[in-house]
Amino acid sequence: MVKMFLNNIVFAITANMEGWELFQNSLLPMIQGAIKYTIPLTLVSFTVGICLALLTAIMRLSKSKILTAPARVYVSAIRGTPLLVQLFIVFFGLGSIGLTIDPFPSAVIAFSLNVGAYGSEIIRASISSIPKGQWEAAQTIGMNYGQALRRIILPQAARVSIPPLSNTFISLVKDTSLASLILVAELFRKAQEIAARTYEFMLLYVEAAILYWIVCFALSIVQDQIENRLDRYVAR
Amino acid sequence: MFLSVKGLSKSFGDLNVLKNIDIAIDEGNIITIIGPSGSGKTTLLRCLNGLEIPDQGRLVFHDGFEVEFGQTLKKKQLMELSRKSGMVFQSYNLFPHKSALQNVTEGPLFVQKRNKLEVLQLAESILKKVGLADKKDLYPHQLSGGQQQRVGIARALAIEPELMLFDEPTSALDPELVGDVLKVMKDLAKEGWTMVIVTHELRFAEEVADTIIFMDQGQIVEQGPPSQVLRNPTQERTSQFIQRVMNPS
Repeated sequence: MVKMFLNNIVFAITANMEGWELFQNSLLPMIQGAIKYTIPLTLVSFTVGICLALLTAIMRLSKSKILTAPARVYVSAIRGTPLLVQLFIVFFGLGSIGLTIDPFPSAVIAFSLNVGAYGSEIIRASISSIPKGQWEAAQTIGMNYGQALRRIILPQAARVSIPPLSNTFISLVKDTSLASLILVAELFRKAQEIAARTYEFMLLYVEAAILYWIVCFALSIVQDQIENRLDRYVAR
Repeated sequence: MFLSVKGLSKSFGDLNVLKNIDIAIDEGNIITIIGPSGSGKTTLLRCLNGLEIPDQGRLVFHDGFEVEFGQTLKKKQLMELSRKSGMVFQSYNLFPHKSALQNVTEGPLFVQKRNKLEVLQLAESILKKVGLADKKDLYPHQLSGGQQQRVGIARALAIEPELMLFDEPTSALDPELVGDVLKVMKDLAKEGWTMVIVTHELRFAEEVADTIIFMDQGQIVEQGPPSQVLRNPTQERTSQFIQRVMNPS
């Protein structure tokens, strides 16, 4: 079964020169799609999402119900509904009631909200994992809540949250392919367009998968480096 | 009088941890608090700088600064209370992502916003005083327990408090490292610091303390100079405790 599957791929890619040519010709538009849309969409959404996540985490850790309640509802709503549905609500839904947002910003909104919700749980857990004594020590040298959070707690929490946040980031890279469904001309949409023209579905979708894989592999190397950097201060 | 503690009470749920505690601390006095675990001694110490908020009671400082517990406290009042004292923790609680020097400069530099050169000089002189001048660039995990605790003392001194609080500063240390920390504390005593020390080191308490307070079940059972509390206790509970600590087996 596996062997047949592999054979088919190898066949599709190499057995005929036409396939190989198509592979080469489609590479450029797909890479363009990645550079113009997939990567910017990921970076912008992740940056905005992390800010949202931090804010939400701090709200959830607060003692005031006025702050924790909206944060809880937000996280629950985003985690309880499919990303694709959220994407469609922002683009088609809002568009149909007169609030038209372009595809790219629509995608940024949906993905940022998504990262914000999942990331907030990660950040909240990593802040909670820092021993209470660190807060107390900060307090005894005169720090207020904000100072303690910024200078003592978050730098330590950052180290704890890097591996799970990297997961979120890598998931986001792949989830951006959903933006093809709201007409963002990103990597996967390019693959779909070429496949629709040439009927070479296997070749083009495998090609797209390989490109995603390369991007994610590069990201995991970056993750390792960040972790090593943050581990400098910590005994193993 | 440097600080007077009046009618301090605190409970956690149904448990009365502190029952109507009164203490008077004179300037330059060294008070050690001893007692069995669960007697409330650590809680009492933590009430003095607002790490624990008592349910009732009053703290009155020599300069007229006063905190009345049992009513809503202003943040500013609590900040001022914690600024009065430096705290040394049983488990050091050093900032692991900062070097020894950065641990010491963090308070004066980023909280008190003092001049950088001045703070660096101060920090280096304090680290020298605790015998760690050559370790200033090491991170906490690169230091032994005794060295970490001395950084902890240096960090507390650096905010230039009026009062130093020690919460069982040697309890987490290997026996051979206890001496270094106690020596630093003796030096501070000689310099005339006002200190409140929760400890199990009765010999140390006898040597440095002006007053020893023996606590049990949230109350002060007995207090007085070491010669009285340790050598001629008037209370049965005190002598039992001292016997047990001095002859553990």
